[in-house]
Amino acid sequence: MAARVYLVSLLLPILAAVCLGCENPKVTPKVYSSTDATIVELVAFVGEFEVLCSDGDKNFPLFATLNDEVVPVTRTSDISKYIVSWAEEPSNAKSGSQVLRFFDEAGFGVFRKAQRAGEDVSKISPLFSVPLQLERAYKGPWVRSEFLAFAISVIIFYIAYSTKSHIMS
Amino acid sequence: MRLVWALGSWLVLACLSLADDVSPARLLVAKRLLNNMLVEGKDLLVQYGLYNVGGQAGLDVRLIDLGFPPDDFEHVVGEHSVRFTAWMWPSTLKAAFSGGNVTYNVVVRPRSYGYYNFTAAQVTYLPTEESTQIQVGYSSHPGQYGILSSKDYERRYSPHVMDWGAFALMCIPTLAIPYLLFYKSASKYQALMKHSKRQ
Amino acid sequence: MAPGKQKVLSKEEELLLQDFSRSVSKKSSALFYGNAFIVSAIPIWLFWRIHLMDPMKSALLFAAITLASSWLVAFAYRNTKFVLKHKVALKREEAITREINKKFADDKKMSKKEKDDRILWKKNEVADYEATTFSIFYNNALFLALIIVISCYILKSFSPSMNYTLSVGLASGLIALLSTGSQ
Repeated sequence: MAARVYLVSLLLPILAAVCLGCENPKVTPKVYSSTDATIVELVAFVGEFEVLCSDGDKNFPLFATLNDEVVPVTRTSDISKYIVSWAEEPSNAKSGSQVLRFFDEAGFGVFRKAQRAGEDVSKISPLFSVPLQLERAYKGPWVRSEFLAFAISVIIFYIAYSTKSHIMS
Repeated sequence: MRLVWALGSWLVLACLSLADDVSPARLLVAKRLLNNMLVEGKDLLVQYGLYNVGGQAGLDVRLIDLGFPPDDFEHVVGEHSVRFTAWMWPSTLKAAFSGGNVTYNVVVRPRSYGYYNFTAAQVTYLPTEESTQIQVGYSSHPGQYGILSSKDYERRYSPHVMDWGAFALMCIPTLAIPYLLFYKSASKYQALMKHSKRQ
Repeated sequence: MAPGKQKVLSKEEELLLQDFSRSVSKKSSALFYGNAFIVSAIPIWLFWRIHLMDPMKSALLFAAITLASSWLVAFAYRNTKFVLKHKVALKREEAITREINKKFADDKKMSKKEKDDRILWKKNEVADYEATTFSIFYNNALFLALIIVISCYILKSFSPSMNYTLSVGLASGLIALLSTGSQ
C-alpha cells in the first residue's frame, strides 16, 4: 500500500505538572507518513491527536515542536482533535525516531523565552510528548524490471550470436 | 542577534498596533497538490499554505474545503474543515512568531479515474482583533487534473517483480535445454579434437 | 580421409547431407513445431501480467497470433538449421573420423568403404543434432530479446492488444527473415 495509517492508543503520563488547563492528558494519536515517494513531489506527515483532559477541558490551544522547531498545529472545526502536519522533500525527509512535543500556552511561553535567550530548550518539559517512528519513503526501484530483462536478454543473445559466428567461421 | 531581531519585531508590532491606519489581516491561501502523478486508489497529498499579507494578525482562522466529496475521495488523514487556534500574524513577522506562515496537509485517495476539477477552499477569519465581521476568502484553485486509473498505473509503473520472475522461469527451459544439448555434443567433439592433436 | 587434409565435402557427401536436411523427418518437424509453439506462447504471459491484457477477452487474438508466430518460428528454425548443418559437419569431420577409426581400429573385417559410410552417417547425425539444438536456442534467444525490446520500449505507448500483435508479429517475422540470409 502506498501509505500506512496506524492508530495507536497510548496513555501518556503527565510530563509537566505546571499547567492548570489540562491535567492527565490522555492522547490518542493517529499518525500518517508517506511511505511511497514515487508519485509525489513532497512527502507528508500528518498526525491527528485526540486529547482528553481529566477535568474535561477541551478549549485550550496547543503548540508543538519537533527537534526544537515549532510546527504548526491545527484543530478540527469541532475542536475534537489537534492536527500537526508538514511536507518535505523525500531526500531529506525526517525519518527514524522522532519526538513530537506538545506545549500548552504557558509551557510554550517558557519554551519561546528560552529559545530567544539561546538556552537549551530540550530540558523544558512539555505537556505531553508523542514518540514517532518514521519510515523512509520508498523512492522507486533501483533498476527497472524491464531494463533488467532487456539487459539479460541482450547478454544471452550475445552468447548465441558469438557461438553462431564461431560455427560459421 | 536573534534576540535583537525578536525585540525589533516586537517594537514593529507595537508600533503597528498603535497606529490606527494599519491594514487589517488579509489572508492568501494557496491550495496545491503535492503529487506529480494522480492515481486512482493512491495517496493524493494536498497542501494549503496560508499567508497573511495584511498588517494585523488574523483571528479565528477557519479553512473549509468541500472539494473532496466522500463519493469521489476516500479520506485518509487530515480533516477538510479545520481551524487555526493561534493568531495568524503577518507573514513578514513570521520570524518572531509562530503561525506567521502556516501550511496544512491533507491526504485523500481518489476513488475513480478520469479528469477531475479541483476547486478552491474557503477561508474565514476576523481581520482585526476588534472586528466582529467575518472575512471570507478563497484559496487558489488547482484546476483540472487527470487521475490515472490504477490499471494504467500498474501497467506503466509497477515493477511486476514476481511476474517478470515467472517470465524468466518460463524462458529458461526454452533456452537452457537446447543450449545444453548443443553444448554437450559440441564440447565432446572439441575435446576429442584437442585430445587427438596432443597425441 | 586423412585428418586436416581437406575441409571441403565431396559431391557424394554433399548430396547425402542435403538429402537429409531437405526432407525434414517427422520427428524433427514435430520438435520444431512443438518448440516454436512453446516459445510463441510465452509472450502471452508477458502481455497478460505485465501489459495487463484480459486473457479471456483476448483469447482469440492470443490463439491466432501464437499459431502464426509458431509457423514463422518453425520456419526460422528450419532455415537456420539448414545453414548451420554444413558448417557443423565440416567442423566435426576430423573428430568424428578419429572417433570411428579408434572404435573400429581392431575390426579387421570392416572394409574402408564401410568405415567411410559409418563416418558419413555419424557425421550427418552429429551435424543434424547440433544444428537442430543450436538453431532452436539461437532463434529462441533472438525471439525473446526482440519481444522484450519491442513490447517494453519501442511500442510501449501502444494499446496492449496492438502492442501484442505487432511485437509478436515483428519478432517472429524478423527471425524468419534473418534465417533466410546465409550468414
